[in-house]
Amino acid sequence: MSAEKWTDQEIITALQGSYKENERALRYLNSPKGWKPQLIGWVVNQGGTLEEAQQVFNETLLIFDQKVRFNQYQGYGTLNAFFTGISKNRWNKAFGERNKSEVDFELNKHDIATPNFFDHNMIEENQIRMLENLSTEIGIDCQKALLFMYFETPYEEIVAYFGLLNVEMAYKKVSRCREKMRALIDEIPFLQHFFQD
Amino acid sequence: MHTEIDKKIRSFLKGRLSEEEASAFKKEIAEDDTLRKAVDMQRKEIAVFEYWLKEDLKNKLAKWDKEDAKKEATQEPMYQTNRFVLWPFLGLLILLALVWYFYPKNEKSPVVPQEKIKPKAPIKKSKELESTPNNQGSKERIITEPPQAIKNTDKSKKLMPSAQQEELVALASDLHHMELSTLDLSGRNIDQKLTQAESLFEKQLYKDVIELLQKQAIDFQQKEQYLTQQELLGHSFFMEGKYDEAAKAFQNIAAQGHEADISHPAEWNMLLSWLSDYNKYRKKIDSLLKKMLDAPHVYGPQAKELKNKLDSL
Repeated sequence: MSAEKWTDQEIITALQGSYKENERALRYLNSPKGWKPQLIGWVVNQGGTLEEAQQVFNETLLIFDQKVRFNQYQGYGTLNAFFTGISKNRWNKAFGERNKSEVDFELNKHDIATPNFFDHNMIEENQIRMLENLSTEIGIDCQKALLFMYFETPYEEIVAYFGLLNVEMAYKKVSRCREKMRALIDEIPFLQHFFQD
Repeated sequence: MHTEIDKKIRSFLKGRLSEEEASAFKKEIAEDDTLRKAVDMQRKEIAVFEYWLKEDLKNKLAKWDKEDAKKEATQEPMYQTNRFVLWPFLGLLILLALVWYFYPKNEKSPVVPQEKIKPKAPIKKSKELESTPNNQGSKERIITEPPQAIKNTDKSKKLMPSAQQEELVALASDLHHMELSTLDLSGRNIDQKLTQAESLFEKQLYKDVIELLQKQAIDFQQKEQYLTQQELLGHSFFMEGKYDEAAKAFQNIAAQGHEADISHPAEWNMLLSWLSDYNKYRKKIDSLLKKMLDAPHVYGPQAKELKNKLDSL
């Protein structure tokens, strides 16, 4: 991995890799050496404030990460052009809304909570609350363990992260957390329609 | 926990199976009730995971921004201790500013030498413009040209999902970037304001180009000047993400040009601008692509490649 600029392939591999690798790529993109200054400059050049630019960047990064992880980047243009395309859409959408309503730019909470493979219109305030309650019941530790599993992180890394004795203990921990989550999400039927493949 | 079937379901839902694998797996799901239930459960899990990741990333971004700010702050004292070193430079800067201010200026100011505003690429597409005849009444056209071509929509076909649309915007941006790298406006007989606009364009100040060309009166008695104005506007609008306006400007050029050197690049750029909203301009895109493929066209090979990509979406 080059110290300065990452190649498209390096970014894709890292985003689709383990939790740690994904985090490293996001950290790079958010850094002054990454793609943040370019986007901030573009939004400011469009007449946006620094705060708005920051919000557009954060939102773009979230969507970009999901799209790359879900293989929605097909390689027709460069990865940076793909990123820029998302950011322009986000900015134009927000800017258009501001023109219409004459109110300050404000990102829609539901919009942020809904990546492109979720149906935007289906997320209601009470559904967000249900997700928040579910997260509380599962707990931070289990959330982390399950995210490791989601990114197919090697069990050795999970052992190291939680300070466990061996791989079996890590396996048991993840299994217990998953069972707990499955029992809880069974009570939230709307989740099934959340995800569109 | 990471059973093979578990992994396969996740790969399927994450779009990481090949087309053949995915369609075979879909068939399996349709035939196996237990498998279908497992897939549904993972769909729910993924929805929750993605919600957590969103929250996780929000927290991380806040943390990273703080870290970066702290890093910058720790670098500041070093700068402050050495700041007196900067005084001579500041004096020199003031001196230069004074020289620049009192330097006698004429219309062809040496501030931006002609060589500097010349694009790097050799003349390619605008060569023949020098011999194009004058066209009286072009000014009227700029203001009143109705954007007829961009009003139609085609709802008869399935709408393109936003993910693919963003891919198309990225593709259009890349192809447009290639266009810009071969663009050459030098050698045209244009007036002072257009020269100023060109200079701004070279500096990538696209917003300023638009402002200058839209608000200020320019003598558009000559076709060459009208075409230059539309070309600068079209590319500037494109770079600013205002694709509808970009398409309009390129359409104005295409409507004027009888020579392939003028109309063909304009048509190609118009096509790239329309790609920003494939669902809206699908009919126009398809028809222009057909035209470009049916008859000899400078951009024939590119059009063919683009059509293949669009067909594969």
